[in-house]
Amino acid sequence: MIEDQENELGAMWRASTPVDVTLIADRVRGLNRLHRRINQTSFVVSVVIALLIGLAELLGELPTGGVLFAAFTALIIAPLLHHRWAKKRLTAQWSSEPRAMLVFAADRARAGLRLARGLYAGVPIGIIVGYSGGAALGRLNGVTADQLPLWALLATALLVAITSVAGVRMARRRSEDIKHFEARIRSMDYAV
Amino acid sequence: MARDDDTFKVWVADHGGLIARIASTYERRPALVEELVQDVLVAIWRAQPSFRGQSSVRTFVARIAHNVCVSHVRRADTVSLGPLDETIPDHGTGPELDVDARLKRDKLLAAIHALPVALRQTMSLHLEGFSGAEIGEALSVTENNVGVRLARARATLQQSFGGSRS
Repeated sequence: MIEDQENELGAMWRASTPVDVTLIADRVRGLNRLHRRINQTSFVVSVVIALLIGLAELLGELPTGGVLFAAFTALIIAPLLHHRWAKKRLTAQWSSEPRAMLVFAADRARAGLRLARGLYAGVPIGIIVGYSGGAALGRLNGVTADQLPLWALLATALLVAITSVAGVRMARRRSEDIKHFEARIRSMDYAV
Repeated sequence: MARDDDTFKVWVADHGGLIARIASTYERRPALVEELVQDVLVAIWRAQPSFRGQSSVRTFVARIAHNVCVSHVRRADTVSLGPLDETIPDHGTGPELDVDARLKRDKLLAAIHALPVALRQTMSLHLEGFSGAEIGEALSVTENNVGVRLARARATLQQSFGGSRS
């Protein structure tokens, strides 16, 4: 009897399609293509800029002796490698065990929370410590720093305000994520 | 296996309904279900090269769908268990699904929403017609564990349906 009812429910369940997946798949394919083109264009633009910097250094137009070229190249390659590594890791997690996926997601949220704390607390503290340290070091060497111009003060205040607001918002979201993932892990553990 | 647009199309055609139904057990609002389906499709597209044919495509797709859903669902929609949004559209059935059947399905969906995640995953795959072994493979649990989860899910569903499942 129960089996009959379950078969009936199963048939009813399988007969429904809550959203039109084919349309969404077309959109996903379009977005993938667009994403790939944007990535390729950004990469080409970055390579051209790196080559121009290298050429300028080679011709002596830039007196940086190859340092700028090396720094710029590293700034392109390092995030690219990190992005590829992170994407590969995430992809591997998607096809792994659901609980491990949640633990992985919670760890990522914790890393995000640390970054957010760095933004709203680390940046202002870093600026204050850096400025005070520099001034103290100058006084020790008998150099008196000039009064900072108003525009520099305003720019610093704006930077601190932006990073603090972004950091606080990000921290709130990541904290919610951590709670959410932990609740889901508990829910899975409870049912096992 | 390399990333291949044609294979992806076939997978979507064959298992699109499964993906949509899994997403609908995690999200209530149609717009969020669509968003979640999109996330699942992106994940499947990216995970395509990791498919080695060790399991069926259906199990592979179900596993990714559950993993993405379980980590992406919005908090507000999963914590509260209020009445089901009656405006959920149904693109697969149309007018042939009568009001009574629609109400039954909505009631079933609401009851599934009320289950803990692990039971919800197991019951939705069971209703999809997955065997115990396939559910175990998709969720990385033993077949015995699937049996335990199904028994608990049935008991909870029976309570939700007021002792009768019809």
